[in-house]
Amino acid sequence: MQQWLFWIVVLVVLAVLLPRLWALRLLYADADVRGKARAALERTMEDSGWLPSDVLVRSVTHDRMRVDVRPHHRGTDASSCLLLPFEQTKPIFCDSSR
Amino acid sequence: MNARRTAAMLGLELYALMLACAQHVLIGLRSEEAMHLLGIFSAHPPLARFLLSLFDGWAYQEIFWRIVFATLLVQAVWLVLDLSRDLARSVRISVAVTWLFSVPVVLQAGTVTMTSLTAVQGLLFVWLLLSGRDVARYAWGIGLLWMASLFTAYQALLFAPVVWGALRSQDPAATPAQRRMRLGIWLVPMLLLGLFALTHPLALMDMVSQVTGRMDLLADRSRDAGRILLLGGSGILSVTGIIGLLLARRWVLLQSFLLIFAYIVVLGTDGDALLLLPLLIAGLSTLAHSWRWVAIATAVLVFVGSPVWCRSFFSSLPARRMDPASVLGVIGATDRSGVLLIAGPFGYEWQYASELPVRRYAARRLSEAAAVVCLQPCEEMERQERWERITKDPVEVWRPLR
Repeated sequence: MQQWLFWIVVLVVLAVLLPRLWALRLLYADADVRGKARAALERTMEDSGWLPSDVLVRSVTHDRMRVDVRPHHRGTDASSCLLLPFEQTKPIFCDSSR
Repeated sequence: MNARRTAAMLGLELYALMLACAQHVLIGLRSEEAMHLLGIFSAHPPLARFLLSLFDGWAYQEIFWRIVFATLLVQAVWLVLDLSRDLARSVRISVAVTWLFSVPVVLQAGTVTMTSLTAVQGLLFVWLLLSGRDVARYAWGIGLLWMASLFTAYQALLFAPVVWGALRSQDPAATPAQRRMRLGIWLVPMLLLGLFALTHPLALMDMVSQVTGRMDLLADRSRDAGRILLLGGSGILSVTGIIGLLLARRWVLLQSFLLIFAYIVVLGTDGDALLLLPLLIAGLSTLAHSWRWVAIATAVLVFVGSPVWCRSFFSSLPARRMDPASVLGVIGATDRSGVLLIAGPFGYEWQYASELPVRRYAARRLSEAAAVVCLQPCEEMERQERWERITKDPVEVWRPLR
């Protein structure tokens, strides 16, 4: 029973983490993308005043990155999904890009 | 459960309550605690902070978790008692007193930090290693516990040698297949933790920069580490505990001890002294098997010395830090759709105290602000015609003119 539970937990954790890691693979595999992503994030946080602890990087492609911004405070926190194109200065809401 | 044990548990619980209330009243909310209570994406894995944040918004969230954390640390003394169960009653009580009144427990019980949880988990692994019970049957259960510990805080990695020892120790006749299984139980959770770290690149970058930034200060850090080592054992326990670890010749305990010490040198703070305590207690228990008087003398010196150490700690604290809740309370009714802008360096306790989202101050963001708090002078605000300053000391608080 313990053995089954152990492997079920491992599989659940893998099922959650592997897709996230796949979405972030360029951040580790491509130094150029990593540099652009860092610059875009720093620029946007400087412009918007977001706190680093409120930003979660979700995915990175060659030309943009997707972040979740969740300003933490007491009570329910509103969460926003934003796209940060590397070649633009303004973030775009994920919904409006469709 | 007999009446004596019940009375002892209740007495311990009163002690835990006292320590939790002391933290709440004398120290107040720390930035790190606020981070965990809000469930903020942080360097730590998500298990504990997810549970903590379930009560976000509840008025008694902070004191509730302080009591829970203090209870875990204080009631963990039953594990300490079991470690010395084959010793005389006076010696067992001495070892328990050493745990309960050690400086790290007195100063840390009731703090909502991952260090407290990791210390309790570490003590549990030490108990599994040294209890002499047949834990090999529960290898998979230990694996689950190990995974829960790792997904509570990265610091749990420091007890990896102890966990390995606990998995191997009770079954010297294990077959190669069983040994491979136990190696898997030990390794797989650590690999999962590594995967988790890679899915949080910002936190990972922050950790790496902290480590590299402190490598230049190793000489200073080493001096601090010596002080923290003394703090972890309340002085005398640091000596008797280390002697006991060396005499025990349980190399996994020494390996964990060295890992924790190295961690303290590179990244540690005073609060991390608590991580040393489970190992030092294990060393003391071992020493007590040969020299009973050592345990009794250690307990007496810890019990007498602890108030002196703690008093020194409290007297070195600055005057009670400004309370963000009282500062933000003067704002009164505001436009609740705005944000709170804060100028100057600030900790997570400000986000905890605020009902509004918090952003860094910049004059260009005033149009979306419901209030501004200046922890350093905001000269630009003096020129804003549509804003009034509510307070000046100790911080400036501004709100739009009504």
